[in-house]
Amino acid sequence: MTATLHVERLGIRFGGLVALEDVSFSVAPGSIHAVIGPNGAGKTTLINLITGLYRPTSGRMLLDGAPLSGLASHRIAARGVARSFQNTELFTELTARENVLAGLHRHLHYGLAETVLRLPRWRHAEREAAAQAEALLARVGLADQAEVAAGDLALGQQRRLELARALATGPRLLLLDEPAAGLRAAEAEDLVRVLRDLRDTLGLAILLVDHVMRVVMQVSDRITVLHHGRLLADDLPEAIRRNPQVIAAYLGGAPHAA
Amino acid sequence: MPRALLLLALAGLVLLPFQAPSHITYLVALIGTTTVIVAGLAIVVGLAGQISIAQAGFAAIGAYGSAQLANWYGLPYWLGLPAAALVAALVGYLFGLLSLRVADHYLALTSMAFCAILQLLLVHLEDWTGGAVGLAVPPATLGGFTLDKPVQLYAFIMPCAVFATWLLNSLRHAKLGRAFAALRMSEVGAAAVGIPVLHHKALAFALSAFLGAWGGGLFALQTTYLDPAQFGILESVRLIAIAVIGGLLNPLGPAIGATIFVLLPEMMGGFGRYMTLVFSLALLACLVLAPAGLGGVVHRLWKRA
Repeated sequence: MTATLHVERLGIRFGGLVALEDVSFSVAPGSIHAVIGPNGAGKTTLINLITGLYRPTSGRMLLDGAPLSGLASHRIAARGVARSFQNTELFTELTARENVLAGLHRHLHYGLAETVLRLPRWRHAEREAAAQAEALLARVGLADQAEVAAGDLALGQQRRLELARALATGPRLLLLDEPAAGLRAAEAEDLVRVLRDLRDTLGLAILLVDHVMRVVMQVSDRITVLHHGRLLADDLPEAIRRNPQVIAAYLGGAPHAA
Repeated sequence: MPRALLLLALAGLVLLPFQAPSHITYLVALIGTTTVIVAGLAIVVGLAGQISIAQAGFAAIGAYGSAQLANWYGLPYWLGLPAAALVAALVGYLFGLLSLRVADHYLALTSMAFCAILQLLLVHLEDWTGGAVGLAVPPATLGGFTLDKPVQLYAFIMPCAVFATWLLNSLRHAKLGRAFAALRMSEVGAAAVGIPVLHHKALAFALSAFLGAWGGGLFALQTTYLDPAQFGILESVRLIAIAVIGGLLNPLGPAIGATIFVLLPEMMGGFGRYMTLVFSLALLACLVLAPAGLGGVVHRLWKRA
């Protein structure tokens, strides 16, 4: 079975700074794959490379065997790669519903003339999109907040809205940048449930970047560890937990990992 | 009931030319023309968030374009106006592509330069534009008879203004309008959901230029004489002021702004040479007290009622 995402000897440098070097790993279909590492390890850089915000200086990325490198962000999204952002990039003045509708952009097929004349094609497409948006908002527990401006939602709700918007694009691969950061314990539990549900019911491959070890260890099928832009380990969660190199790098030698 | 109020206003627009003196009919038609031009700005500045100081330039393309197509080739207005507007839309799209290289304030400055260059061309390409002396606009003809009375122009212009307003309203419930709003609030976020940002910025400029040129063509018919001085940077700024005062995100904003900017100077004639000052102060007060524009105020009142 080919991997959903295959990253091969990926590297990027900003001027003299090597942010990522020689990083290779694969995300299996229908799996949750975590990338962890201390601050500055290159985790967000990795997501930005995969989504085309940065161009790699070496190596390549394959989505279901097809190269992603060099494509513009919106084309990568069209291939089925959706993401969330560490500090959320929601459309703050739009309502939660409109944010999800914007995520459905590529799946709406009608033109300006059909919009202005309110032709059936526009009407049907918008009605169907509204139903889909409703379902997605319900899925992330925001059904009651549909008419609230995204910028007025609480942080945890904004994260979930961004997830719903990402799902609206119809992805094969979902990239989540620190979805658990700053969440209370109960919210983190919810997140774990939602991620497992997405993997199991939609068969999504999920690449997760996070610091919150409780969430990462609970939810991941496999973990990749980055340190100073290089691959430190790539293994099952249990093995990562016991890997002395990981413990040393991540906790500066402290013995307890979780 | 907003809907009932709107229908009442529409009925009023239909009945007006039968009751009002032709001077008033002319003024209301001028409001209509301005509404069309400013509706373009509501798209590019309001929805898509790209500051454009080029709208007077696009209006010039529509005005001079449709007039000269009639002068040179005898092209009837109902063909020449859309043709000129389409050319303006193409120019607008290409201008929008510049936003790949220049963004934000620099894009605003570039649009200002674009407007200035167009105006210089109007002055110096005398063979094509009539130069600084100006250009007489041939009256529009339809099936043998000539549209030159205020009432006839009114009947032609007002549906255009209603259409432009309707277009703004429609965009709010469509993928295109949401894509514009998305790129205004987060370009990275827009790209991440598969919206091609550059293409949509260019599209916003194209739509804006189309409406600007369309309104410019209507303006040409109304004034019957074109002068390059009418299409400079100052006019672009005035158009932005109208858009902001009316309310950039309200579909009725351009109509509200246009009404005030056309009627107030008429009513404030008594202030004589201080009119500009009084007008500017009124604008300033409006900006401070109602940052969402008068459209925003109307919206709030409706919600309360």
